[in-house]
Amino acid sequence: MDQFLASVEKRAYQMAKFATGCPDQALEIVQETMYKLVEKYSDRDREEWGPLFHTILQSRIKDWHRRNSIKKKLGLFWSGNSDGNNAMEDRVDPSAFDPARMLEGEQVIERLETAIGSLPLRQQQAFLLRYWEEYDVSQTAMIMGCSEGSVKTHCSRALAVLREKVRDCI
Amino acid sequence: MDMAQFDEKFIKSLKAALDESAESLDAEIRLRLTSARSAALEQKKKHRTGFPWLVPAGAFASLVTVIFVILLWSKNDMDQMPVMEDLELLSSEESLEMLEDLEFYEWLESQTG
Repeated sequence: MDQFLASVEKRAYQMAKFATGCPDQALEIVQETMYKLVEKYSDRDREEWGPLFHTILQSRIKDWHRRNSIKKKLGLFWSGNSDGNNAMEDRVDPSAFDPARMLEGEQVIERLETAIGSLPLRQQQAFLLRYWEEYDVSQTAMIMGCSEGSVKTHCSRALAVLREKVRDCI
Repeated sequence: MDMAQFDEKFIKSLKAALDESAESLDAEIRLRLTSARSAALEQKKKHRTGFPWLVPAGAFASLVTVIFVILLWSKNDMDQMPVMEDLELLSSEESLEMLEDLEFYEWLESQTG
């Protein structure tokens, strides 16, 4: 279990950070996911850990978004917490998408992260599970709790946005 | 290059960039992730190694308690039986009559003895 968690934790953290935009929130989500997996499913087959881990992770991310949107609707955002909890759309720096800008190394990663962070949550989840974690369409649908058709639609839309935003630097 | 080929190549590049982003996390985040992992695994160990003998021991203790209570209850029942008998004797009219004629029975005994 230790090896498995070590192999997924960094990517999981990145996924949570794309979704929340906040390192502390992302760490909390990953920690909760690890706890739940270890507590409830450590006796399952090793092959099941990956999908289970990502199901828990995506569920935690969705919960975070739900809570956050309720808070936002109720106008309970306080300034000290606003940088971490802003919607991704608010965090996108338009200057980062200047095609004339030559980007390399860290700048490419930063720009890609911003572009992925700007995707709607479901597109982001589908894209990362399908193309980064390399789950097939049916596994992605199972993890996300939606239909395979929805996964295909989310992935296609996400890809179209990313093509637009980062193709010049990738 | 058609769209499918382009996408395939594009996705590969995206994946490589994402892998790089995950591998280039700063030391503090890596450390916190390691701590989170250790804490999660430790919590499970505590559950497993935290007095596992307590479960059968608890069951045994409960069983002994139940048996003890049943025995105690039965014993009380048995102890109560003579009391009930005494009460019956004392409450019967015959016995009271015999007590009233106790002097007669003493006189009878002295005559025969």
